[in-house]
This record gives sequence, structure tokens and C-alpha cells, in this order.
Amino acid sequence: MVDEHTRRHADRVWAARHGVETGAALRFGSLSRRMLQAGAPEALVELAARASHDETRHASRCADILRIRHAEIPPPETRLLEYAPPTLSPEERLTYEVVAQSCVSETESMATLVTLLDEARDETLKSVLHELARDEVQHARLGWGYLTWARERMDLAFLAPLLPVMANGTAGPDLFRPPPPGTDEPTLYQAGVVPHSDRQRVYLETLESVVIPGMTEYGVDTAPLRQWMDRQHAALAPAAVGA
Amino acid sequence: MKIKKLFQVLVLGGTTLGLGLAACGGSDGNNNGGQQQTLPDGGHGNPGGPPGW
Repeated sequence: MVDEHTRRHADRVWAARHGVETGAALRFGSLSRRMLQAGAPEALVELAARASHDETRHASRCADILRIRHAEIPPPETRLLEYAPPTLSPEERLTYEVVAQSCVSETESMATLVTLLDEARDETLKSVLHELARDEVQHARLGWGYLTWARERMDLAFLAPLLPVMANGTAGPDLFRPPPPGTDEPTLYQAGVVPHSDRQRVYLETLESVVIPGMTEYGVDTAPLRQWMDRQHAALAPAAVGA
Repeated sequence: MKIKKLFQVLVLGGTTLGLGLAACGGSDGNNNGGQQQTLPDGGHGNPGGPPGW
């Protein structure tokens, strides 16, 4: 039996995902154009352009799920959102945007999809999750592939103090707060939503086992990101003790 | 798939992709990193990085 809080939370999550996907479509389109201007390999430019189209299709899949749930479909994101500090050079800003989008956000999204695929039973939901996961692999690889090209042209050390900023932004303001009513129920898995406590665990585990070793491969100091993670772990500890 | 395996699939897979491209020519760009776009602070109270799933 799914209570009203839980049902509404699942609706909100799918509506938010619709916004994530439409926003990502705009961002990947922009990144493709900027990579072209920066002289990046054509295959990366094309991969980013394809990712933009993928994200538009993903948004339509989220809309399908919302229709099945009899939930409202929000308007698409129409703003092209940029996150890099304006003090960075143009090359650094492009690298920041690629890392924030692909190495952090898309990598975290893959971890969420993998977690959901392990739990999903509904065939329609599984089909959507499989389709999205196949694409998101490429969207995340784009970032790591871009870094392979970029490291020969610039010093990536500037990323070190910015990784916690990216991680904090992608987590959003609520992830490391106590779960509101209806957001931590195991039944959410069958609606394609990871319960709040598991989201916290998956997010930190993905930083620990994918993003940090990945950045280390590229010579980026991950101590600031580890310190940020330590603070999130500490914030969660009292809740775990009280559980 | 376990989350730990994502390192191999995403990071090493992406690195291999990038290494394969290193031998190829780049696009004919002006190497300035591209034009700065709108809303440089994220514009919606969630600065730092785009939201994920």
C-alpha cells in the first residue's frame, strides 16, 4: 500500500527528472558547440550533440511515466544554465562544465539507474531504465574522454577545489537533510525512485568509488572533495545512530 | 551492476575513448573554450553543478 506522501513524492521526482533531462539537452547542445570552437576531436563534439538529442528523448520517457502515473507534466527547462565560476579562463570554464555535467552529474545518474535496475519489476519501467542507462553510459564517458584530450592542453589542477562545489550542486540542497515524510519508503523502488537514505548512500559511494579514483587518474587532487564527503558523512551520522 | 564497476565502465571506458581520439585530428576550432553562455551562476539557487537523477 503506497500512502499519499509517497505517491506524491514519486510524482515530484519524475517531474524533476523531466526538468533535468530538458536542461541537459540544452547543456549538451551548448557543450557540443563550445567543444567545436575549442578544437576538440570531432567524435567528442558529435557525442555531445547526440547526447543532446538523447536527453530530449529521455524527457519524453519521463513524460510517459508521468502520464501513466496520472501526474502533471511540467513545462520543459528553457534556460541554458551554466555553473562555472566566471573568474575561470574560457578553456577552464568549458572544462568545468564538461566535468560537472558528465563526470559528476551523469556519473551519479548512472549509479542511480543501476540501483533502480536492480530493484525494478515493472516491465515498462525496466524498459525505460534500460534505454536511459544505455545512453547515460556514453554521456558520462564523454566527460572522461574529454579530460584525456584536455589534460594534454591545460593544467587540470584548478579543478581540485571546485570538485566539492560541483558535488554539492549536483546533490542539491535536500539530499543530506533528514528525509521528509514519504521520501524514504522502500516501496518507492517500484515507482522508479530511490528512497532518500539509499540516495545518500549511493551518492557518496559513487563519489568514493568512481569520481575520486577517476579524478586521481587525471592527476586532480581529491582532498577537498574528500573533506566535503567527510562533512556529509558526519551530518548523517547522528541520524544513523538514532535510527 | 555494482556501483564500483562503474569506474571501469565509465572512467576507463571514457579514457579509452579519449585515447583513441588523441591520434585523430581535432575540429577546426579557435581554441578559446567557446563563448560564455547565459546564467553564469546556474541562475536557480543550485550553483556548482547540474542536478542528476
